[in-house]
Amino acid sequence: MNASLIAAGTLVLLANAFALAHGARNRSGEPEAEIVLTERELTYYSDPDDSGVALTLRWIDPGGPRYSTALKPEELEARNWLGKEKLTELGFDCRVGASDRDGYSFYNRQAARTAFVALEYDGPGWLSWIELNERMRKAEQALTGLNPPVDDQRNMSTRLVAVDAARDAGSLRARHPDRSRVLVVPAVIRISVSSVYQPQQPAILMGYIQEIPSVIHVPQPNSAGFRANPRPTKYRVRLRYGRFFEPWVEGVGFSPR
Amino acid sequence: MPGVTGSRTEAQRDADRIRTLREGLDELARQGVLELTAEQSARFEQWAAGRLSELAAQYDVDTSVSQKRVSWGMRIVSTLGGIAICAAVLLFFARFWGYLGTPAQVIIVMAAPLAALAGTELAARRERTLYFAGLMALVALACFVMNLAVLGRIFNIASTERALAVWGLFAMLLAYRYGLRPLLTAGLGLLLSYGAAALNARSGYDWLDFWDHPEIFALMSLAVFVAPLVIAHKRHTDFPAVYRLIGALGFFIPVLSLAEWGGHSFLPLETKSVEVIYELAGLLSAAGVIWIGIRRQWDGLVNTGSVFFVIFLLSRLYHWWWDWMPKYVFFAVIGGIAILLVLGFKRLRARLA
Repeated sequence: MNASLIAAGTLVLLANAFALAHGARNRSGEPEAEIVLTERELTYYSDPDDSGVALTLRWIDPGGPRYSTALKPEELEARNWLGKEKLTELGFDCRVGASDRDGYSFYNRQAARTAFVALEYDGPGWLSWIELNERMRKAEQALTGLNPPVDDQRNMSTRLVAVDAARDAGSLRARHPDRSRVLVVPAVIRISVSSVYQPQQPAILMGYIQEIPSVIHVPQPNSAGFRANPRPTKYRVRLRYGRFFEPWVEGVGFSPR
Repeated sequence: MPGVTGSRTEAQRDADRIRTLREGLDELARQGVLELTAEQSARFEQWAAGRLSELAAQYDVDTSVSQKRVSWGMRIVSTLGGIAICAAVLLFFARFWGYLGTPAQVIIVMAAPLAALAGTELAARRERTLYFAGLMALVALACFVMNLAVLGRIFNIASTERALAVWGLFAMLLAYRYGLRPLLTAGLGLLLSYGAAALNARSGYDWLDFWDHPEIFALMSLAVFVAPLVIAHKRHTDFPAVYRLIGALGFFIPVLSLAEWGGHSFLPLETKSVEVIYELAGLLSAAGVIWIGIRRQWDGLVNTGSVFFVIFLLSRLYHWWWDWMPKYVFFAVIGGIAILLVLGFKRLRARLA
């Protein structure tokens, strides 16, 4: 039999062996994190063409630019957790001033970088974000005299909030040792220049999280409950993260409607 | 013995030459320029018919123009059929896999490419034209892609550029085993993407953003372009043309993207300056490719170079003139330039003759 054919077959077997070994190693030893999340943090969308069940991790990046009279520029600057210092630490070139003539094109040309992000669950970061949201709603109401649409973020939004980032997962975990309330996950971060606050305000250098691996497969038998009820309202998911920061579902509990 | 496409290509050229010679002799006889004697004509016909039968029996070549047209149709249909079967396999699996336990899912996705590989070998041994083998090889590649993608999903493995290398290598092995140009094209594309993505990842960037650095892609494509000069293809004599095409496309498309927006260039220059540089570089390299194609008689390369030469020229003229020139004048000038180019090519062709 031709060597190419044998090589192709061997390649398939080796690739599968490597993937399975990787999965096994990720789950070996002590989990990197173990956390119980709810339907607010792990959303299920059923797809009639896909019988597999996957949950989507939802999280908040609190440092994004906000348009509101309730916010003073200093407060926005303080909430910008992915600022110049952090971005430099992550490997971005921040030597040009954000307000410089070439600032926009200089930073726009920089590609996104990989890093690790700490997602804090139901902690001070989330409470601060909720408080800011509610303050912004009141300011809008005062400005327009209109009642804004009902926005029950406090009871409906995800409680996972990005609070920190680092190039090295170990140092990030050292800063946030609580493995039951803080997830350390790989992320892709991009740098940008924002000048949205006021015309005379200098531009601000800020980063934002472009991507965090958010789709989490739910295997049998835990997936059976989702297929039986395509619109589950309340559930709790025990999630573990392994040594390679890849998650798996340990258990799912459904609450009655 | 399957996978002798290189010989089949030469055999097809032989058959085409005999057919052309036969038609040429008929035409010369009709014009009274050259007329074979009855004996010569009979001997020629006997030799031509015998040779064509031999080629058809051994390599299943097309011996007439109508056959050639049908063969092209078969190739197109078999490729489209392969893509449709790939889609059917993937969607069928997606529809039902969730009802299976993890061990069953793993076994099925692992067995699928191996089964398709066996099917490809079986088809190749039974049929010399390799239409069905080509179709099965596409299915095998799709099954292998599905295999690793599903394993990654089951175990929530972070996506990695290494899968591109594995898939690319698989496609290349099948391409060389059976002499399949579509698989070679897919393999080269995957390996090129892997190279650019790996460099991106090692530099601390997201591997999926490898297109953020088009220059890496362009440089690697040059390596693909010159590969046939280093790797001799005695068996698959039609493969070098694929390397040149992929290399040329992989070079010109990044250069074109940088000519449109120079923000992603490594060059420490203003964006506008980068765009002008790459536009001119694109024009010059396209002209260079046309020249190489003419010198080496690589028709495909001449066509590719011509297409991109026109694209770069139009792009430059657009940037210069579109905003201030009346539109009818703009298109009239474009038409005039096209006529000048045709006259230039005619003169070049006459000189080469």
